Amino acid sequence: MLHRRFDWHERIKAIEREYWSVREAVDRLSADVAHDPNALGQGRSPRDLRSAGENLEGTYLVRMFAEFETGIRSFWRTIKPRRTQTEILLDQVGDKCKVPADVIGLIHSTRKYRNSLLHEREDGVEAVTISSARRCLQHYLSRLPDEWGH
Amino acid sequence: MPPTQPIRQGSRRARLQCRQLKLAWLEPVEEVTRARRVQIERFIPHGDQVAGHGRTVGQALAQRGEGDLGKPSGILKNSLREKLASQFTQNVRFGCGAEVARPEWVGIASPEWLPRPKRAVDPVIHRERRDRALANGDVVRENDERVTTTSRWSEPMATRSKFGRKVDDSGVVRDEWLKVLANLTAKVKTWAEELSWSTRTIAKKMKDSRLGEYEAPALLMQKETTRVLLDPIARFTPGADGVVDLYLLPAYDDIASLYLVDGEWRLHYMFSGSPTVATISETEPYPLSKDAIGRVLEEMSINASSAL
Repeated sequence: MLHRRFDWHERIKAIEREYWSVREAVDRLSADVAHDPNALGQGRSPRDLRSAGENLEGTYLVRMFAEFETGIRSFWRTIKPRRTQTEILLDQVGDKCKVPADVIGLIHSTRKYRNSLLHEREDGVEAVTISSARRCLQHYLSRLPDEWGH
Repeated sequence: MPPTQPIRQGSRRARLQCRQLKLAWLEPVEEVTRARRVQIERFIPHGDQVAGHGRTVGQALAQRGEGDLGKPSGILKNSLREKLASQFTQNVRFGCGAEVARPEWVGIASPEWLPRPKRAVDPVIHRERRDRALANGDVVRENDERVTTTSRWSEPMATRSKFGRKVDDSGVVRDEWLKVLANLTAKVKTWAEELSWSTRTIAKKMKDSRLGEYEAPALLMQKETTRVLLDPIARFTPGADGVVDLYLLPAYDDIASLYLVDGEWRLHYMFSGSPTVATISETEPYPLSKDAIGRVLEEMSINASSAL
C-alpha cells in the first residue's frame, strides 16, 4: 500500500484538534456541574468527570503516539519487514532519515511519558503536553520521504 | 496450487505474489506469530483505505452472513480458514476488499487494486428501462424491483454506520465546497507567489460524516526555510460554512484560521499588538485579502525561527 507522509501529518494534527474540542467540552461541563451538580444527569458522578478531565490529555497523547508509531512502522516495514521494539525503531528510522538528535531525544521523552501513562509507572518521567508531543512527532515525521510503500 | 515452499514475508517472491493476486500483503496463517497478529489487528482499524471503510476480514465475513466466522481480525484461524476455503472458490473477493486468494493465504487488497464499484443506477432511468422491458414483453426479474442506489462499497455495515448515511444532496454540497476551496487555494496561491513564496497544491484526503470521503486541495507555501500549509479542515462547523487552517510546518503550529461566513472568508489571526485571546477563533476577524495574508505570512516567517 502506498503511504503519503502528508496523510500521517494530518492524522496527528486531527487528534490534537479533537483533543482541544473535547477539552473545551469537558471544561464547560465541569463549570456547569460546579454551579449545578444535577447538570451531569443521573448515574454520573462529578468525581468521574473530574478524573476524565485530568486524564484527557494523557488519553489523547497515547492515541497520538499510537498513530505516529503506526506511520513510522508502515515506513520501516518497507525497509525491514520485521517487528522491532519501538525504542530501537525510532532510533533506526531517525538514523536512516537523518532526524536531528534533539528531535529524537524529544521523541523518546514522549515515548517514555506515553509508557508511564499506559503502565502507570511513576519513575520520574517528565510530563509532556499534547502540543509539545505533536510538535516533536510532526518534526520527526517530516524527515521521512513524501511517499513509501507501493 | 499452494506454493511448495513457504514464502517469506516481505521477500521478492512474496511481493510478486501480492502483485499477482492483487493483495496488499500475503501471509501464511501458520507462520503468524502473536506479535504479528497484534500488529495487523492494530494496523487494520487505521487503514480505512486499506480494508475499505475500516472493515476487517472478519467483519466482512460477518456481513456476508458468516456470523460465526466474523471476528475483528485480519487473520483467520486455521479452522475458520478451512471452512472458508471449502465454501468459496479461489480468488473470491469480498466487498470490503478482503480477499481469500488461496486457502492458505489471507490478505487485504488495497483499494486501487480493487475493481471500481458499479455506478449507482438512477431510479428514474431504471424505472423507465423496466417499463420499456415490460412493454416489450421481456421478463423482469423479481429482484429488479429493488433498485440499488448505493455503490457496493457504501452498503451499510457495522463499522461504517457513522459514515454510511449521507445527506441527500451530499454530492452537490461537496462539489460546491470543493469549488469554494479551489477558488480560495487559487487566490491564496496567486497572492503568495506575488509575495515571492513558492507554492505547491496537494490533495488532502477528507472524511466527513455527511459528505463521505473525498479529496480537497491544500496549499503548501515556502519561502526560504519557512513552510506554511493552507489546510482545509471541515465543511460543517458551527457558525460558518467551512473552516480552513494555516499551519506553520513542520511542527503544524496553529497560526491562523479562515472561516467562511456569508460566502466571505474571514481571517482569524492574532496579529502582533492585537489583544491576547485564548484561541485563534476568538480573535477579531479580518476580511481575506492579499494584505492580510501577506502580513500573516510575514509574521510566520519571523515566528518560524522560534518553532522547535
